[in-house]
Amino acid sequence: MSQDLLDGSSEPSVRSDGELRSAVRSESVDGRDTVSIRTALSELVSHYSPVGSSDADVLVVPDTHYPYHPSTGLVTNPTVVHELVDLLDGEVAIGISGSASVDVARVGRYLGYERVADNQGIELVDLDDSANAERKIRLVGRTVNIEVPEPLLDSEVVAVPTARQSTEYGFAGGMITLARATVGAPSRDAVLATIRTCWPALTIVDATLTYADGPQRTGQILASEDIVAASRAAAELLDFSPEDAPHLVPDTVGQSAVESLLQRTPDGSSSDDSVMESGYRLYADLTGDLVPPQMLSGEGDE
Amino acid sequence: MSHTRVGILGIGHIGSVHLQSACAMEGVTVVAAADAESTNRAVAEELGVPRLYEDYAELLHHERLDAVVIALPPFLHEEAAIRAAEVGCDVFVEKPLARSTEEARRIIAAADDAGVALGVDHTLRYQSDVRALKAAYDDGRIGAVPLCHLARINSGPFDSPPAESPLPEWQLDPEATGGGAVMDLGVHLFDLLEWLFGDITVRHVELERQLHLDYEDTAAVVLKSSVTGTLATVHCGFYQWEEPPDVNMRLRLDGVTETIDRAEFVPEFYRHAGAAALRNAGKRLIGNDPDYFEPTYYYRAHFEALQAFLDAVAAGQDPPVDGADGLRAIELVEETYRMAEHDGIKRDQKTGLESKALSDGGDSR
Repeated sequence: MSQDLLDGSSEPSVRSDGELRSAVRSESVDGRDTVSIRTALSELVSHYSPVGSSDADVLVVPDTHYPYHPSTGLVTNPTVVHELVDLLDGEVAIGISGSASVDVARVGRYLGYERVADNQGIELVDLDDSANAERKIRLVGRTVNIEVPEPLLDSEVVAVPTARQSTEYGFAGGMITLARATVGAPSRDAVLATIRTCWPALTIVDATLTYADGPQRTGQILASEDIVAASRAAAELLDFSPEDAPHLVPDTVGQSAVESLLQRTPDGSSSDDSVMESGYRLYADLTGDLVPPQMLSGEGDE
Repeated sequence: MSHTRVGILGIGHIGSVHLQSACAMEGVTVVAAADAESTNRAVAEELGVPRLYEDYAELLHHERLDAVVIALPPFLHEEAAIRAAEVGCDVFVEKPLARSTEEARRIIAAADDAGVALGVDHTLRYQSDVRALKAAYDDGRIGAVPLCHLARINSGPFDSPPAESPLPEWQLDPEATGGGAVMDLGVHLFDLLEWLFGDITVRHVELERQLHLDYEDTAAVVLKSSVTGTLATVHCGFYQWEEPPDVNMRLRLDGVTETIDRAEFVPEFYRHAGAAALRNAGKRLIGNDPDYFEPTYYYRAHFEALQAFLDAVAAGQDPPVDGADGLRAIELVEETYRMAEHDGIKRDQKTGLESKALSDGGDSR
């Protein structure tokens, strides 16, 4: 039975059925039973149709950072991916990425994705070996440059992370999975910039088996059109608070504004800006707004 | 006093144990070492090894040695051992002696032709807990042993979380290793069975893979001794996270009067390490050498194995664990693989990942 978990905190946006796009649905599932997994996924896929509709290019992106056994909950269960690609319409492919510890080709093979792709007659896309597109993304008070694998931009992305404790990020449940495709060990800014750039059409969190101080049979699959909401819901499912994982906490405008201001006048002395320019920069830092071109380089009017 | 001039070929994990051991042994001088990795060579440099080589063949060509220790990957054992024998070195090889019985026989033939000694580091024979268990059995304490169980399960080439080191390539290539968990871990246990009971044959084999690897990472083997009639079940695997000093190794003899288990003889690690450290500190205070690797009984076993080999060679005796022992263990590994093939359990069978109970690694057939 479907169950709304929470309303996410992204910008208000409502589906045609009146449900907030940031709502997170969950299905209980017996992770040992492929039929149970398929039934749960079928409910979710049909609810979120037309994601994966017949004329779409769909890229399914699971968590494949290391060849841990799927029973540990540290990587996405390939069975979930196998059933999901079978349920999706359109031109479906699976996009995988490795890490500093293991190259993408081997991790894909050891986790069984070569075989999943063969069985399903679909393409396995090595995101680490794909051409990248450069993007400059404005976050609050700063600009972040990232390189995004083109398949993430050219397709409807369906992120399928596991839900796991992470020594590096506190918790990983969706946003980290996607960001790792752009940078092997993404910073918080890279995570936020990636999500802004290639916001997935759908996030399905494989919480059949999860990892928090050891493997757990959690028995849930979560889904949302809002990857941030899905990540937070997965964190709460494992008793993590967003504060345990900095990427789940929204930028506090005041904090970044202060940091940005301090970078410009670290010793507290007056900048060369006029009073009006200083004021405008402070306004831009506080609100995330852009500055007029003549203020970009500090040079005068052209 | 003459010194045995030793060269160390391979300064990886176990190679560095042999290097340190040899550097500490009386009557032994490590004159050179070789490793393709500069970080490994740096270890030898810090230990004062005078000459270092990137290529072991260059070491053998340029150095005048009495003995070499071969701690290279298995795919290099044959070539390195034969080259070393041909230049007149006694050869001590890490297990497995070779990737196959064919390679092992060629190594043995080369050593025989050159008139040099050949030893194999079947370390478990030198582990204090295993020796204590064997002594209890040899003393007749438990009578005959109709059944016994041995197991060695670790994480193989994989890290437990968080995975921080690069996943090695050659260790996952059966062409380089000669096989999977049976070759790497089973070879230890098969050697122990031969040592304990003698004339072992393989009776039944089950091989599985928990990940989509090119070799088995899970094995269950039933063997029998025609000397004692003992039936042994052997488990070996590459799938379990391991945090030393806790190691998953089991050795249990179910005798007619009682059962003895290796666990009875394994020192409680931290208490043992602390006591050993204090003893060694006391020894140094009075100018004696410490008991090397004493706090870590499993590394101590490597020290004793190498010491026993070098002592035997110096005394003109056969090595206590020689090429024939190394060959025998590999014969049992190959018999295991042959039986698996014969029973239709191909090494490329589907893994537990594809069965209906995939996420719990259920039955793959």
